[in-house]
Amino acid sequence: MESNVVVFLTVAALALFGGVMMLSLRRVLHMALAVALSFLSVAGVFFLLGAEFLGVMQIIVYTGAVTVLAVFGIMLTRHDAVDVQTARGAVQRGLAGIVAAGGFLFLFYLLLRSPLEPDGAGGPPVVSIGAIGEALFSPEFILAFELVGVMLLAALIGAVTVAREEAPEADREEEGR
Amino acid sequence: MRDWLYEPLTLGRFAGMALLIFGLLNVVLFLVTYAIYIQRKLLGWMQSRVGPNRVGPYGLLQTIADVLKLLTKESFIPSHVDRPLFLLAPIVAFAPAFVVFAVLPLTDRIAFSDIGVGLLFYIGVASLSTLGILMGGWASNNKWSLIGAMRAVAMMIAYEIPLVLAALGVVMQAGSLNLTAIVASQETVWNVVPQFIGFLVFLIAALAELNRTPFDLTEAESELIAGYHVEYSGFRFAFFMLAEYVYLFAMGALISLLYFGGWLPPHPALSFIPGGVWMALKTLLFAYFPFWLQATFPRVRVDQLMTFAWKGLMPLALVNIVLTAALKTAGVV
Repeated sequence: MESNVVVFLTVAALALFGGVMMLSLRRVLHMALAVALSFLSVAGVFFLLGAEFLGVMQIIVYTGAVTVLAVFGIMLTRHDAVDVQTARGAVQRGLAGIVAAGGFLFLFYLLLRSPLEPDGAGGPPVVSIGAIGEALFSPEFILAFELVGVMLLAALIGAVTVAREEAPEADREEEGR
Repeated sequence: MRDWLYEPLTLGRFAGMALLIFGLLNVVLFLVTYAIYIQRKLLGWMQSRVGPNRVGPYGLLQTIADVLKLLTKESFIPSHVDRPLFLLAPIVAFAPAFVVFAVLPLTDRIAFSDIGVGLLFYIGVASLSTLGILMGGWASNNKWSLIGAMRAVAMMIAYEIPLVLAALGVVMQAGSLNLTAIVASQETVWNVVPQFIGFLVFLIAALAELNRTPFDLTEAESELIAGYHVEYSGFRFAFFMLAEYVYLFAMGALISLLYFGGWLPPHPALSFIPGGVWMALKTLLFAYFPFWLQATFPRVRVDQLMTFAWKGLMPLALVNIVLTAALKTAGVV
């Protein structure tokens, strides 16, 4: 078996394992960390496909930032050890099964129809970060790129505003965060 | 060795790589062992003490004795901890510390990978250690552990931003995120000269990332006992400690690659000394630099630390980026 296939099967299995653990674990923090494993494995798939930049971004944004934020959110909010018992009747289970199977079949159908060709012996070409930068600033994508920039700025200002209003006048000087 | 990276992976090459990686692990463990010895000796001299001098000549075997002691200790797990996370945390904290060496080229001939986004990879993977610390602090089910872990994470998030922004100046100047290319771009003048502001910001943020004095708030023994690893002992504690010291060398290597020309000699006339020696010297210098600070600086307060990161370092790093862009446009650098 080619080494690519071995690596792919390993990371894919890890990603699925993380997803399954996320669904089956009972503690919220454990779930967040299981998702982190899944995110990390997906980064491995990106590396395997030659998308270095995307892989690293997956690690920084999802495995690093999103997970830490989620964990922080969990820690700072009240959570009791008591499991919330939700009603899971036969109807719900059946519906969930139908939705999951339908989603899987739909994605599988799309995948089969997609124009992706299996690569030759050399594996997929590595996309350099320079090429991504050039593409983002090309006339085709520049508008979307600028709009995303404006949106991020708006989100940043919004975040600052929200954070400031939480602190009373007097504490603001000492808060510092 | 670089040629290997571009050839198909066979079983033989894989075995060779695995052997080299094992060798690197041993080199790193050796360096860490003696870093602890040198740290204790340096602190001793700076405080008019002798430092370790009983085990072996000049106390050279002291750390080895300490490691043996840690390894033979009872593997103790408190009953109130979250067991799976408690066991997993030291590994999650240590593994990224060693993985980052994959993208750090040691000389122009010896490198374990040559990926285009090496610098980003280092930053991304290094941030995973935060998760290990958070896991350890939370799973210990101890208020000091939790506060220590929370501080660690808040600090790492706060200081990662100026760290990356400072490094961005170097990236802009070199036009690449590949660490080999960044070193190659410093043939004429090391980045520390045109990027001096960036270097200062990077150095300070790096100290905070490494949790070293004056930013060692996560372990503040006077207020938190020892921070996130209070409940850890023996082998598992050794792993946390190991991760911390391995990062010291990784960060030393990164600073010398980004700002001090990596394996390039300070002057072309000195190029008869092999690049590996220069790289080792620079890396060790920056790995030991935090020890000097440890003996001379008091610890900062947690709110001062945050203010300093967000209101001091970050604007400075942004100014550095604007300056670099201006100089680059003007064609100076």
